[in-house]
Amino acid sequence: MVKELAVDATIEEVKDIKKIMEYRILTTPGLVVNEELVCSGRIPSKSEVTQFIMNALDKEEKSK
Amino acid sequence: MKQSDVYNYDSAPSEPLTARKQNGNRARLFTRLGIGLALWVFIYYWLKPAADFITYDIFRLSPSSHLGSSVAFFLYDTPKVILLLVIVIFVVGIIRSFFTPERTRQLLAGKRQIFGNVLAGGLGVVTPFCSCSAVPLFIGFVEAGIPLGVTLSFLIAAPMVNEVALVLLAGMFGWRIGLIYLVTGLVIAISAGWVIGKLKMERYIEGWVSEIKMAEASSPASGMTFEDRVHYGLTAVREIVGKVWPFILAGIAVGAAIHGYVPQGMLASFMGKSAWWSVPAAVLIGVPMYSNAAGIIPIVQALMEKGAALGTVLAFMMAVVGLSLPETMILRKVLKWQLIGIFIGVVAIGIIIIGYLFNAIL
Repeated sequence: MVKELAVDATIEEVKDIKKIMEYRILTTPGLVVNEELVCSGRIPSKSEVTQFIMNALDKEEKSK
Repeated sequence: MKQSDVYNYDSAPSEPLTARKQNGNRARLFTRLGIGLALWVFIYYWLKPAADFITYDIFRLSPSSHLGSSVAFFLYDTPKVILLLVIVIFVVGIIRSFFTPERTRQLLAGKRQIFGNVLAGGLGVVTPFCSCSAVPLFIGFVEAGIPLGVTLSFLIAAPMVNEVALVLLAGMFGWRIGLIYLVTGLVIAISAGWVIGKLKMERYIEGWVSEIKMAEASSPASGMTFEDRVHYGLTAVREIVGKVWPFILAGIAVGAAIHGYVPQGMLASFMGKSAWWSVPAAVLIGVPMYSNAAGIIPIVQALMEKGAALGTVLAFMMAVVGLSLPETMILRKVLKWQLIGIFIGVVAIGIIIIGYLFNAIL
């Protein structure tokens, strides 16, 4: 997935409940991109994940 | 960048579409739904004749034989229950797409006891979440200042009143029993939460829970269109029916065997109204059991047919579905043993009372 989009990324599975709660997640599973919660309580589709990553990249771009 | 921009993925892919094309998509969706519904009605209508035809004409079984009545029961009830599940889960799925856990938390924040318990019970029924999320939900709720008792009303109602159980009960016993189940399940969740709230058990929440600071929970996935909700409903149907059908099949098979082979009235002596101990015994057996409603209800129906009392059977079902040890143990992460004990005790007593009540009035 990340390879397809040709972006550098590290992927990490967070299992510690205290850490999970820091992302303000109410229902698992949750997906966090660049420290921001983008999806929770369900498994997002591939196109959605692409969209999440594109949004995050956009955001990075703008803040530069 | 505003938050809304980040979460706006729902509408993003459809932006290039013209309004006309969108209307076309919507029309196609409605046409497909219409065809699906017509097909559903057609199949449902022909189920009974088809099941009888296969059993008595193709297999040449006699309607009065044990095997004949078992097979006819199995062939008719399995597709009927699955059809009912499909339609109800679809509708419930659409309703649920309006209630995210984040929204529920917002609605419950700042609510007092009693009113809060009632609201929490109702929201527990319609808010979609899997029991594996009980811990983050619990923390999120308590953190938002929702009282412990109200939070527990929510967590009790969610598994206790479930749509699969409701459909199966209504489909096999009629709408009256389904409604009784819905109402009594809610009453137990509301009153058990209220009782625990009155007991002032807050000190039995694990200490680390209160150290977690989370601001307003962010709520991804807002701004769903009607099409999104339909898709949400269809996904729910695929997931839930895909998960429960083996249980239904197994349950109906056992039920069919009881239906055909256990003599009429045999269970009346120990599961009937006259056996006072049968209700607590049913709850005691039911709590450690973990099955979903789908597997248990067809068996329950067959038991009732053979003389088991409704209250006893309802208590057994609620104990199995609403109070399962594995699910309660998940909560052990955030609650101390004392509170877990009280939690199980209060809910079990509630179920026993309901069991006696129904044996007394019906």
